[in-house]
Amino acid sequence: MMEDGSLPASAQGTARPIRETERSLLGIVMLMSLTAGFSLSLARNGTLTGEEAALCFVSSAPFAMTHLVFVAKGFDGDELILPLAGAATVMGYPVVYRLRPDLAVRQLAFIWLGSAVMAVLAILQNQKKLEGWGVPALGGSIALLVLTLMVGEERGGARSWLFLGDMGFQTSELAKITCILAGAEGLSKMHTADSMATARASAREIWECSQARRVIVMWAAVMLLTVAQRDVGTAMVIYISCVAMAYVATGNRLLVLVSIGIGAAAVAVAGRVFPHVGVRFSTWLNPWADAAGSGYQVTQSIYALASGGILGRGYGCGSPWLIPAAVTDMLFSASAEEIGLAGSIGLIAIYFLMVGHGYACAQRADSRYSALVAVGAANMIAVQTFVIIGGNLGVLPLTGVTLPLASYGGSSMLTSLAIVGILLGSTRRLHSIDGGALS
Amino acid sequence: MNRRIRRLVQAWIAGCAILVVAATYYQAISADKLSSSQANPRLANLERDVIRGPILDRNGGVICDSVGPGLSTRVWRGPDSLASLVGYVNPVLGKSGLEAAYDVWLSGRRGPYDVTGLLATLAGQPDHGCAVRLTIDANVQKACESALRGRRGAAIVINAGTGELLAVASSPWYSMKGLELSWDNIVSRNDSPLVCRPINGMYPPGSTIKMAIAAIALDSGVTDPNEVYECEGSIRAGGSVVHDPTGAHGAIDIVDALAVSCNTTFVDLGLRLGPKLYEELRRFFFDRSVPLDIPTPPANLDVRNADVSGDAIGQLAIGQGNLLVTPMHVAMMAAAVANRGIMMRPYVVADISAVDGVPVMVASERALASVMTPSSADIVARGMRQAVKRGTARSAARWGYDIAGKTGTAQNPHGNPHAWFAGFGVNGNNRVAAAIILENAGSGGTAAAPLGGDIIRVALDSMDRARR
Repeated sequence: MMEDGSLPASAQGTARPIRETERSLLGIVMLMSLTAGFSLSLARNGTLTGEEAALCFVSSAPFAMTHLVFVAKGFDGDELILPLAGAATVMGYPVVYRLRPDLAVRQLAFIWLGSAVMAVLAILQNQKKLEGWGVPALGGSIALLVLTLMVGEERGGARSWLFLGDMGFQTSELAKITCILAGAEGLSKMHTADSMATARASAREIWECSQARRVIVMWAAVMLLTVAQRDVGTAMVIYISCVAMAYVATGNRLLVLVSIGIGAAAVAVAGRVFPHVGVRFSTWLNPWADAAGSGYQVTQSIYALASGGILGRGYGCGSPWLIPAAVTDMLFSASAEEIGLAGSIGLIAIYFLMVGHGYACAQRADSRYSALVAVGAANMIAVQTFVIIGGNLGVLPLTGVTLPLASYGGSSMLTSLAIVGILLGSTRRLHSIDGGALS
Repeated sequence: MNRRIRRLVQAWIAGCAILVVAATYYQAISADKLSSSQANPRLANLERDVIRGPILDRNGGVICDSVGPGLSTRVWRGPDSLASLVGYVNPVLGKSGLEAAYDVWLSGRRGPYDVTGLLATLAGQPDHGCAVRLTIDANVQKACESALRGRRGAAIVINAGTGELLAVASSPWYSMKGLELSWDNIVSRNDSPLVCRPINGMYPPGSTIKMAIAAIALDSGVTDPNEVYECEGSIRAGGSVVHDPTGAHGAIDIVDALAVSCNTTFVDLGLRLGPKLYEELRRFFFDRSVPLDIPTPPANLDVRNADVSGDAIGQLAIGQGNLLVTPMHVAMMAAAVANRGIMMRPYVVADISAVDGVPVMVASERALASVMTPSSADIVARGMRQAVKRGTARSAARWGYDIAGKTGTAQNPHGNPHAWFAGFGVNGNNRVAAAIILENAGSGGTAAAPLGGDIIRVALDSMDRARR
């Protein structure tokens, strides 16, 4: 059976891919996790062979498993994104472990679960089995958001948690994925006839396309519901990502300008209506004005960054727990104290490459739908990363979103890995394309 | 569509660039300033957990050390006259003096633990600060202390060949015991025990400045060693007359003029130099602070708005008028004469070492300036030796010791004149210079010179012992 399957196939250039690049890069990722684990174990109990080493190493294992599944299933997606996502995860995991050893096993479980979701979504998306499900799924998310608003619970100033027993889930996180899938479905229906490389759609053309119209209305609903939950950070991430996706699909500059206007107006209104948003803004403008009060989190973040210096204090030698909410919102600063500027730039570089490569894959996607899903997924990771690292660095007002793939949090980890999954599924392996379908 | 995706890529590149710039700003550019800010809770945590390093004298004798972690465990062991130089450490009052200036080392923030990354993980958290060893010699310091006891004043002793400060004594001093309770009393006292007089006190130099005037006059050619002056007991300078309190000295040369501290001769030399005198005195750091490893105030010679009237130059030539200097300035002047014109950079911290004794920083000696030619220095030294042998500084003479000196009696608006003695002693290759001032104690020759002789003798003995 080996002969009848693989020989003719390899002759046609469609041999089952062995994904060598992915394998080598994942080797490096596993090595990274092992060094981090050894360091952490050394710092915490003076020996190399503590459970830290084992758990950190195991945090990289699901990516290797995913790779094996991909090879077994003949998955034909891109080979760089999985190792980069793995790298971000294994950079974040030791910091979470170090800050909250009690949450280490939980976080590990979320990474494993998330990786499974990622692998499944990647393969389904690769086989075009998700197309058509986006709009119904977004409808479902909207229903969940409404439900959350009614029976949800409040955590950290935002009423965005839905509890099932004692398992909590942030429904706005699910909306991130469905917004991408539904958006790509709706917007890819436009201009099916003409070449989509350069065409621009006017506002009327967009509105006249019923599928596009439906998606825009649903996006607006998600936005309003998320804001109503007072989860302004997540609303902002979804809003910017969706506007950027719509821009790529339609090329309508007016749409971008109007969206920026609406966004600015919304932020101004939110600053008035929600007191905590206004405080975040004044803290952003001058965190030192009330360093012991509202500016405490940001100034502690800055002290952590500064104490890290260029090479960092070393794993286990800093005091990152001095930053409030270090394990979720301030993970970047917490890690920066111990891995230094060298490590922070490395971490930024991982996201830079992951998103940048996602865009590059979108440019050579095999269909308009796949391209838009890839763009949407890359947008979502890019905006959230920029918003939270920028918040940690005082470049933007601090919002309570997580650092994708790195921060502690079940919903966040599952969603981030799921987004990586649909991104992976919308791409094609570099070697399997000749020139790219869209160029 | 691909062009529009490229726009997003461009935006993403810009966004990441902003993040990298911001991270670089906080983690590299302003990192040191921010991380050493007192509001950084890491500092307080470190201070709480680390045993602060000791401060030692040059022979390893403990001046102060900590008996446990935290700031409240500091124990002062003396000599007490070092209190204002070394300073205090107190959880409530904070830190002063060398304790503040060398805090990064003493507290362990810098030193062998100042490693990063994996090395830090291997080394673990610091538990001991570094030891700071001073150039101070406890024997010499104690000699200064007993000379100053019960008086207001300062004494400073310098190894003229290296610039090491062997003693920095300030009197009155405060007691480190119960500092917190006696604080209000210490601060309100009129005799300012917190001021480290040898390096921070500002006094008119009086006749001690004649060492510099003589050297400047010789080096600039307005006089020569063979010239004979006719001292008539007074001289006109501008609109005023300067007197010699002991009357006319008759026919004297420059060596004699130094020995008897003849005002008439030095005012004459000052007038010959004219406005140039201001420029020449700058070489002795009289218009700025002497660079020490801790901050010191500048002397106040104002060269830019110099008063070039005969009156002002006449007063400057005998160390009166507006010029104020620190005792360290005066000691450095004497040290330069002893060191044949080369002024060495003064320093008070010899080295800093980790708890295991491995040095992490070692001070090195360095020449600061050549302030006079060797031949002029030799002539000035001869004058100072004659002053001790038969002149104003006779009471500094000690049998068997080669001591040279110059006295000063500095008029000041605060009462009786300040009594100065500045001099040096030579024993083989060892050359120590000293300056001592007693506030409002009267004549330098009677009040200060005997104490100066004692201090120089002890310093020479101590250096001799150390060499053997």
